[in-house]
Amino acid sequence: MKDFSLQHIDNLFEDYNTNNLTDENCRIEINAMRNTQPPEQPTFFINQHDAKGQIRSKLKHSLRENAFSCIVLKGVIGDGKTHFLNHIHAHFKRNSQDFFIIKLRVEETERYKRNFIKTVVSEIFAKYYQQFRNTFYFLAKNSLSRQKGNNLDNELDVIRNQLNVSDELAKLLFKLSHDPDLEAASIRVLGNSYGKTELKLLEINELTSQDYLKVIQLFTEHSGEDKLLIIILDEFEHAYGLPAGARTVFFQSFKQFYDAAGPAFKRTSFIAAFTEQYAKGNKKEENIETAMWTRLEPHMVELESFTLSNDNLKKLLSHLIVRYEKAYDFEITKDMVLDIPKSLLKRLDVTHAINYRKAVSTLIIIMDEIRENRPYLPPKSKSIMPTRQVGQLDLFSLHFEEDPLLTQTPPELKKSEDSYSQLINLVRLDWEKSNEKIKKSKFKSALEKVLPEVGFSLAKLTEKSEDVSRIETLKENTLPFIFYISPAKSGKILVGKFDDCLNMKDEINLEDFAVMPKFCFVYSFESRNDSLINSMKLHPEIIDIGIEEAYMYDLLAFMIAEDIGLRENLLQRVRPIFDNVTATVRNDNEE
Amino acid sequence: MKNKWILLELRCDLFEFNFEDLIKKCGLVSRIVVENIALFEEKDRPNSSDILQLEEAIFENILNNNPSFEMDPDEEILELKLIECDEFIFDLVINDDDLEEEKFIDFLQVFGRVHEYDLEHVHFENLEYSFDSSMPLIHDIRMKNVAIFCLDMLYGICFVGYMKRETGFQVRIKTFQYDIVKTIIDKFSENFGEITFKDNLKWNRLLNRKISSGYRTTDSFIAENDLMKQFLKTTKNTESAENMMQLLSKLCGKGYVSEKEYSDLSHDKNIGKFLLPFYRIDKNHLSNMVWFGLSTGTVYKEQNKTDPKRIQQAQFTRIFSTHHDLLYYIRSYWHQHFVEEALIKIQSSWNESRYALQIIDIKIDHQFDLLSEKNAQNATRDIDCLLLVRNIEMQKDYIIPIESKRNSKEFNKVTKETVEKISSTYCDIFDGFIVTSYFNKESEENISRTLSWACSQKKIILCVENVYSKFINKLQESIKEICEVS
Repeated sequence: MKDFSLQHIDNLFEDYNTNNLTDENCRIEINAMRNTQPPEQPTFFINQHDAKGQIRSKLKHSLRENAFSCIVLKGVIGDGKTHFLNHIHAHFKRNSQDFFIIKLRVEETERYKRNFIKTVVSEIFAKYYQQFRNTFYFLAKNSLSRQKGNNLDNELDVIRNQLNVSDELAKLLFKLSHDPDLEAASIRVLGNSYGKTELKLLEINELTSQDYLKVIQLFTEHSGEDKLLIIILDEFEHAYGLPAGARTVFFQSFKQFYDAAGPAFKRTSFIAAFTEQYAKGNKKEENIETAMWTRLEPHMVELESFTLSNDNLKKLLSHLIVRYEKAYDFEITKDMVLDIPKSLLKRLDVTHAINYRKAVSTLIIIMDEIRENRPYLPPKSKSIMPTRQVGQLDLFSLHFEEDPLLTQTPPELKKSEDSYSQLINLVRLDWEKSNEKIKKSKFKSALEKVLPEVGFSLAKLTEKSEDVSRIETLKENTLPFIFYISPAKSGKILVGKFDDCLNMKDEINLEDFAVMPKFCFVYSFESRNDSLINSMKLHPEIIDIGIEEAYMYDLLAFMIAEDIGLRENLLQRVRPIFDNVTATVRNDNEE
Repeated sequence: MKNKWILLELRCDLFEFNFEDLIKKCGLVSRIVVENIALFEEKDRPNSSDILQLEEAIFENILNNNPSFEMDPDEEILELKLIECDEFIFDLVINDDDLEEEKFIDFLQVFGRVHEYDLEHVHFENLEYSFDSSMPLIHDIRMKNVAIFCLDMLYGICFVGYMKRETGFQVRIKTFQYDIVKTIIDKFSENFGEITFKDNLKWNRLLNRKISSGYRTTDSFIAENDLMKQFLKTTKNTESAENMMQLLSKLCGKGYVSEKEYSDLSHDKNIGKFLLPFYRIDKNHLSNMVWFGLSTGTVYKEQNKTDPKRIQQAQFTRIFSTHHDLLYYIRSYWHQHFVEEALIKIQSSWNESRYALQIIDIKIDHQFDLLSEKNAQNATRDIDCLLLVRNIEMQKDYIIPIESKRNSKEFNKVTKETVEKISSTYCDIFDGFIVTSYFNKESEENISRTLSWACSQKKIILCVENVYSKFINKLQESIKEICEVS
């Protein structure tokens, strides 16, 4: 049986059979990438041979040796880390009969009071209820003494000794095996998904983190010889964005998890991804986190940075075009393919490094323009080539015009990157030592500096335009846009702020406006939790502007940058933040 | 009348609180406190000084329990949010024979937190009898078991009644925010295969956004008058349809028909009977004195007092129009009633023939707030006729607003206003839009367009026809098109 699972690991990064792609899946994948979001179920992933090899070998090691393994993917923003993790997740979910796989985000620990261990247990319970129930039910039954007339204390002793568990856990397992009426409640407590009623029914106290570590250990030992448990934690760096108290709880519980996992967990792999810049600077000097990083460092796998070489471009295009053609039933001819790299170069910020995310999204936008017959290149005379499906074209035999920018880093870029890093470090240190009130006003000032550069002129539209949470503007001097801003670090507070944003919209007298104003919620992306995502989904009228921490620093840096070249670079970087707003204006115009 | 409740929620990431103790300590009377949410009746609503006192108690609690914590007054570490809201009750049946009550709790625990669950009557002692109040909190749930349930959302408290019956697993949810009930229903739909919704959530949500009582009751005598009923009936007559359209075009425009126009129409007895002769004064200088000869029908007017021939016979033209009440009716109500009768006709014909589509409800002339994000406050959108249509085979409901415009030339305006006056937060309530018109069928026939909001697109169909029987057919086709039934 293990052979099947090992085979699935071997096939992890095999190219997805394009014959199995459906139009709908292609549309979803392309749509996500167009909006610079990683697709939920990616069907391709280029390069990263080293990382791919290491992941495969660690997963195989865990399964073969019944051991725990850990991999931390490290990379810069937009290098496709989440894309990578989603690829792994989607692959094993497709083969879920042979694996247990759970994917977590730091934000999700909020529900379990930031305790990483309890979050893992609840996720296993939620995703694999039946296996979880069966594992513990049979474990409890098998641990009981077979001797008749054994009293309760003796029974508990047997369980405690046999499984090496605490008194409370032993009591719980005993009740699980002994009283059918209490079975469901016991399983819920074991799965960290319970309330007051379960504790009252079972007459036990709450289990501790230590108990839940034991629950994970027992699950990995007894849920099946051939099954590998894979725990994925994306955007690890978001832990740094937590408010101080919550951060401590998270890191403490994570360290507890990690320390126990090595010696105790069977057939378990932990795969995390974190953005490189967060590991630098003073953050690393903090106690619990330093201890944590020392442990994780040997398991770090650095992702190759994406470079816009001819080879990479060809690989990317070959995957994208097949999917694009399927999604939109539109033929991209050889002639068009040859023009795409030129168009890409024209619109990329060539004085700054390009990342994977931006390259993919720009390529898709160029294909959109081709499909919608919008000018994607200046007109020129060219010979019409016979059209045929790119699916039949051999992209690798195409010869793109060599462009020096595709292969070399110009010296001015190097210089510009150095001054950029210095400025960002300065801004970050200043931001970190500011309190909430100052952060809010800095955030507002920075946005007020950038907004006019991206087409929004500041205006006084209501009596409350001075409010520190609000910026009122006119787009193209006619369309009113009101931005509600909050740099709140806590997800719970942020959800409250979104509610305030809704109230702000409702308080505005729409009759005062000839053109209906648009409302935007600008917030710190790292603080958003599922509750905020859900609320925003229910109120699509509010335009979502979540700003990632790195871009927040770019915004703040733009406010103080003096060098014209640097200012231009920063502006290029922050411009996509307002893409959502621009898209809304474009849709309205199309109407 | 729905019960009103006040919700007070403490939002804080950093510290743990016993919110119930803090509420009691400040002398507030709450019906229930679950996690950090307290629910109050209107009569016990905390005022601003209560909130201040509560805030102080919270900060004191933080300092007592965390002596090393350095409080920065500018740091936003917590927030108290208060909202007044109506309760929302929603019924559904899960058609799954294997679903047991304990399994149902397992399911709830996975996507939220079941704080407590028990037989309904066991909760009464704490949640009903301990309060001197006639407002039921869970008494009106009327299910064998009730779970007190919380979602990770703002004001995420709700009560879930449930019991297993032979007819399926019955669930009744009582909550206080549309967003919460929507999230729960979505989770139920994702998890359980077959669910029968006893209520239509979108329909309930729409009716919750209704502003006025709608129908202009003060004028209702006009619609109920026999003359108007007779006229409406005549406009449905196929033989007179073209003549009627001519007449209505004049009446809705200038308000009368000329003698020449009358002579063209009067051979149609169906029409002639509604028209009365009038005199239209051609040069009417109202500043001058005008008098009428009752027996002769002559109209005099005084031009200039100094002129001995100042009194002249006024020039007038013979015209034909209806009784003024009927004219008022035609201009204000007739077209809407014409459409309404067609809908009722379709409703009964589909019902009698047991057709796959059934019109479950027709609401006439209501006003809604489809722009505000939270409580409905201003009437921003009138809907002439609102349809709830059910595909009985697929058990799927469709909500279709129908806008009645006499002239099809108004289609562009309606299209524009529909997007402006319904925000993207609400556009998904509707499955498609229909605009019905009476005049100008030649120029604007068979138009169907796509309306676009930020995250969705809906079809809007223009259905224009003056012959009633054909209009019914076109309207049926339009409804079928939106409900995707061929």
